[in-house]
Amino acid sequence: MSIGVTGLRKSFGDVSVVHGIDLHVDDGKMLVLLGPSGCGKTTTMRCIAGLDTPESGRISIGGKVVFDSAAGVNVSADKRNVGMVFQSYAIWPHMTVYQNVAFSLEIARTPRAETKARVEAMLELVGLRDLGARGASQLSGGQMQRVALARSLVTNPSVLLLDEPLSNLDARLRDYLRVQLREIQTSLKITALYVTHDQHEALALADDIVVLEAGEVLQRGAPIDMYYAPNSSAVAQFLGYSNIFDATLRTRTGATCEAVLDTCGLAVTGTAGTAGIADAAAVCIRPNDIHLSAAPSNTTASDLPENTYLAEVIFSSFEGTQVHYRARTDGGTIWDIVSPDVAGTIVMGTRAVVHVAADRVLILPRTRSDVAAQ
Amino acid sequence: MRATLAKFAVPAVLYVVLGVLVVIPIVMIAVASFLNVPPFSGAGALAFTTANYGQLWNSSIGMAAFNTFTIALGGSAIALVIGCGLAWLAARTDIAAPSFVYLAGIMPLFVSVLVAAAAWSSLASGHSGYINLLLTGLNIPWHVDVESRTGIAFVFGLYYAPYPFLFMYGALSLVHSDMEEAAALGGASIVTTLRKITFPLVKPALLGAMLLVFALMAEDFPVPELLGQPVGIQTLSVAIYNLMTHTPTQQNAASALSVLLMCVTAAFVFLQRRLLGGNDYRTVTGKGMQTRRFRLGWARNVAFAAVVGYVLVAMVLPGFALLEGTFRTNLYISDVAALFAPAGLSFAPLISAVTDPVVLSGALNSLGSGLGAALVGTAIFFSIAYVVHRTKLPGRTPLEYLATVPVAIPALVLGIGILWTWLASPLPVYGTLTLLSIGYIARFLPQGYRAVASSMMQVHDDLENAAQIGGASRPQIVWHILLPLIRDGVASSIFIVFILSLRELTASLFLYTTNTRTLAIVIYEKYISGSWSQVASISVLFTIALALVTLGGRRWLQNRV
Repeated sequence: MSIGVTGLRKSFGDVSVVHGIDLHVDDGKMLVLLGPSGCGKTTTMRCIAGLDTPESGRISIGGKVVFDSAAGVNVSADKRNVGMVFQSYAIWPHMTVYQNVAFSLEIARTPRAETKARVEAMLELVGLRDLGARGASQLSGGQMQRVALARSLVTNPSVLLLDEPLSNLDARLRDYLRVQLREIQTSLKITALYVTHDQHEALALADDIVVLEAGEVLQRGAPIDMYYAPNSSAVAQFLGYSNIFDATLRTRTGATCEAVLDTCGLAVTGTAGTAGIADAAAVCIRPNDIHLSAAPSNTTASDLPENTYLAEVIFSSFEGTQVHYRARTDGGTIWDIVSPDVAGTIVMGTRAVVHVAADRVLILPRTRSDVAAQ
Repeated sequence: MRATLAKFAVPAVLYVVLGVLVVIPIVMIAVASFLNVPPFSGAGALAFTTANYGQLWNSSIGMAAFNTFTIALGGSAIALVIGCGLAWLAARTDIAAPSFVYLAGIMPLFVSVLVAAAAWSSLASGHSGYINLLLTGLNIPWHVDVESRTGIAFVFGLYYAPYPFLFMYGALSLVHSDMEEAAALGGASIVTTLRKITFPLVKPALLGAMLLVFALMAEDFPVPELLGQPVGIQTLSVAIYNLMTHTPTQQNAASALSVLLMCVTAAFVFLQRRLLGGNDYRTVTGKGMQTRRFRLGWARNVAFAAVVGYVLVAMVLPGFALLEGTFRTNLYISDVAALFAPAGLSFAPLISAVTDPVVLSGALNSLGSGLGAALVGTAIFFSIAYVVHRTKLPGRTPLEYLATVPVAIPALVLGIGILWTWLASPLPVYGTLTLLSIGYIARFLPQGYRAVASSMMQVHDDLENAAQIGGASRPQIVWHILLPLIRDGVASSIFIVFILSLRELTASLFLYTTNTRTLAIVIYEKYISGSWSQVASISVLFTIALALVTLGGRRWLQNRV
């Protein structure tokens, strides 16, 4: 079943949270809404679930209109046949695991034998087969998360909504459950909408990503496309470009541009984004695309080739498979760098040279409205 | 259109309920205070007048105001010293048996002040009070007398101490000792730490306790009625009662005085709310994560002795007086020896009290009206809390304010207002136990509502959203999810309203009729007619019953009364 959202608007009191969002999720696909807290992603999801009522717009689930402000349609949440996993899990603490999962079936007066079979199958699927009789308040975070998933899937919902389901778990469990979640979703071929602020989760889970900020869509696309071609520095920031410097465009030949950093006047050569560019631009570089090496003695700035700068290492931290550095160029700009060269770790205080290839530098408009201004 | 009407229907019903319970009674009193004859009395044509207020400008009312002020001030001081002292000892020091100290702090709540005042009158009134007999026996030339301003303030202080205790205990428990340790590490001395860190943190609670206790004492009726009336000491509440009941009755003047008293208590309660920033003291609860307690050193035993002393004076002595009154056939005790003589002890008074049909029907009436108030009241409180905290229905926020209004209304005034409301009503409620239940629901609305609402606020609404998404309707969600999760809060409300109703005297005095006397009313009437032996017997049974009920429900009581 697909999900369609058009022109969704929602405000709380005087604060407009979502202004005019359009979304579409194809049958059996997972769409991830990515954005910072307060960007309207959870509100959008709650509107689709029927927990919040939008001011205007149209929402359909599986081709059936569940909300339409113009036509006065508003199907209540209990009749939309969606499954939802809450950030807080919302496991009912006064019930057992079995009772939690069986609740919706019992409300729907499903025959007892069928309920039992479906609940047990679902517990098996999420790996909690032996925990049915356990009180829900005695579960660990990961177990609660899986009960929540089983509970949301047991009714065979048209769509599954997931509101930051992994954010309360520790890192290792999060990685493990993320894989399990994706496996279950693809094997059941259920349409899913997933809300998160975590780029790794978004990239790993999504068939499509929609980046939201301040209640508006910044960009939409497949993870791999978006990863290599963010359309603005705001999106780049979400996708792991940790070096983002405001800059002014100086020259442009084809896709190759030269820009000057506003803070220190360094000239940087890079590639313009596909969405076009304005004079007020941003230079965006991933930390692992910057190469750091100790500076040969007596090097002066004029000796250095393009996109190569003298700097001082001001922070160096060994992280196992990589080394994390911060380096301050002589103009005062601080660069965030990750290097896989663990053996050749450069110590703090070293004079160094930073270099980035021009095809690894994205020169992008700063915001979505700059794109629109083209 | 139908949906819109339905949206307004639920809040409208609740407004009507709260209107009848709270608003109309207050309006009745306010209107009556500007009329020449009592409303609905058929005493003549109604006309507007301000004479009722002018009439209050006399030395007798002036004296009553003075008495009210001085007694409440003195009583508050005593209650604060006892309550804060016990709270600090129980919460922050290494005193022996802190749970006993905590129990000592809340114990007086389980005792009816009516019974306590009656017991104290036999302990320390005139020269025949038991304590005075003891003093004479020991050839000590002093004697104590609770039938005086000081005596009333003393009894207030003893039995209102739990209020400051609960305030301060909550506040002190929330002051994490880390905060104090941080100050100490920063170089502050103990005195400086207490002054700069601890005191400012608990100051709002302290001021809040002062204002609330003052307001409660200013409106209290049973204590000054029992201890002050016989020696001509009148407080404003007693004056209102006298104006209402002594022939020739002056009900309009009583209304005017009620309005004035209500303004005073409302002002104090309002100030108290402002100080606590909208947080009622009952929500200040829970034990902080204490890591360090103040070492009392040599004072540890002294402090413990003081706690035991308080328990002796507040609980054991009055208990002894009641037992004496119950089991001693000859009430004329000439000296201390006679107080402990085994001869003359008998079960006869107790048996006659238990078999007295008035007492029996009083007990049944108390149970019936209390249970009715507890069950129906809690259903109303739940509905209000649900609409306020779980819906977006129009007009829901003011409902919550309305639910807390009765805190600011003296019980006496509320009783009169409710009486007139239902005398005016065509429904045949006057003269039934229902009227008493209505009075109790109105009077204990704030306490019961808070118990339900605070537990409801602790339930994350995702739990209910999850059920709704799972296909459950609103009633199904309430029944399967919300009610099971807040059953402690609901039980707490039922229990609190029940036990407070059992103890209630002041509002009941206006709402009872011959056939609907409650146990508290029976005790009061027996006291007024001078049947001390019966008062003591019934009080002993009443106190035991209250204690049993309280013990049975203590898990729901916590810091809420």
